[in-house]
Amino acid sequence: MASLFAILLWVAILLGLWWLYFVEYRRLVLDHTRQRLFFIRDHLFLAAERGEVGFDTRAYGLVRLTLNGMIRYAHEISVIQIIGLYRAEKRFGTNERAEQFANDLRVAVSELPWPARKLIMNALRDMHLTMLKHAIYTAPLLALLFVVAQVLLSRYHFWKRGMYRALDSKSNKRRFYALDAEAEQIGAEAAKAAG
Amino acid sequence: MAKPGKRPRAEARQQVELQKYLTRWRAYEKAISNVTKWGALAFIGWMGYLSVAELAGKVTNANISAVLSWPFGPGWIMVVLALLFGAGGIVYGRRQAKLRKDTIERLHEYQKRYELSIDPNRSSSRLTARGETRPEDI
Repeated sequence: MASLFAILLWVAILLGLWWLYFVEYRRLVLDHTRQRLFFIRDHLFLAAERGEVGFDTRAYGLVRLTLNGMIRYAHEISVIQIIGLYRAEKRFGTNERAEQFANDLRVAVSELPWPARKLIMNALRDMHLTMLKHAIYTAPLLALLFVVAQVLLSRYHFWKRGMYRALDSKSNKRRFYALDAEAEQIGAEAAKAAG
Repeated sequence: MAKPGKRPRAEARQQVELQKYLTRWRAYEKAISNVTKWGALAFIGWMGYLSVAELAGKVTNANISAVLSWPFGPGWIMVVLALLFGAGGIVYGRRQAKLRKDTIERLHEYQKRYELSIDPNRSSSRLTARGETRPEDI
């Protein structure tokens, strides 16, 4: 009798854990990512309101549309998709859309004064870091490793600087631009649909 | 040397291949995600079934009403308390999430109006008013 109860209890606990991970945890990670992306977007808006970058500049519009696309499709970003982008880049070389996005961004940013340029590039880098963390947190093993590393190393400056440096590297930026290009397209289509 | 006109066509073909590759990769990702999710659930069910079947083979004279009665003891009280604690945490988390989404729903219109008054070309992420994924995007 006790054995049957033990079995039922184990099944109930496992079902609870299943639900906790596949439903609640994933929802929490998604909400957290979106919250962070909204924070970046709001920060950029407030900077534009203070006059640090113009609302009508191409760079502001491009980054805002990209952020909007990321916010909308954050639920589809995962570590597998990021690996896919890496593999696609190795296999096919240039991604036309990513190149187009990189060119548009380069031109748009070159029209800005230095502080505004820094603001835009920092917003993009923060967005990349947020998406990378999102991808890591949706993979349980990677998430565990990352959390342990974060707890042990976050007090050291090199951890944060190392992550930023990795994200600022040309090759990583190019890979992320493939994701950004899709997000920007989604954001632009949504803006067009909204009129 | 490649003939003029050949290179753009080859590049276009490569881009089509690239898009196909990315679409395929997205499909793999969805498949892996679904197999992991529903496979884990099926595995739990299967293990539960196997355990009960194993037990049924050994305790052939089990009295069903006795099986359903509660075997109270200090150990079980701890287990029940632990389960209640876990379930309570989940309910608490759900309530907190609901409150946060209610607040988002209540305040987002003010933020939207304020931002539109400053930037008439303001673009939106097009999430729902509660900040959730649109049903058609899933």
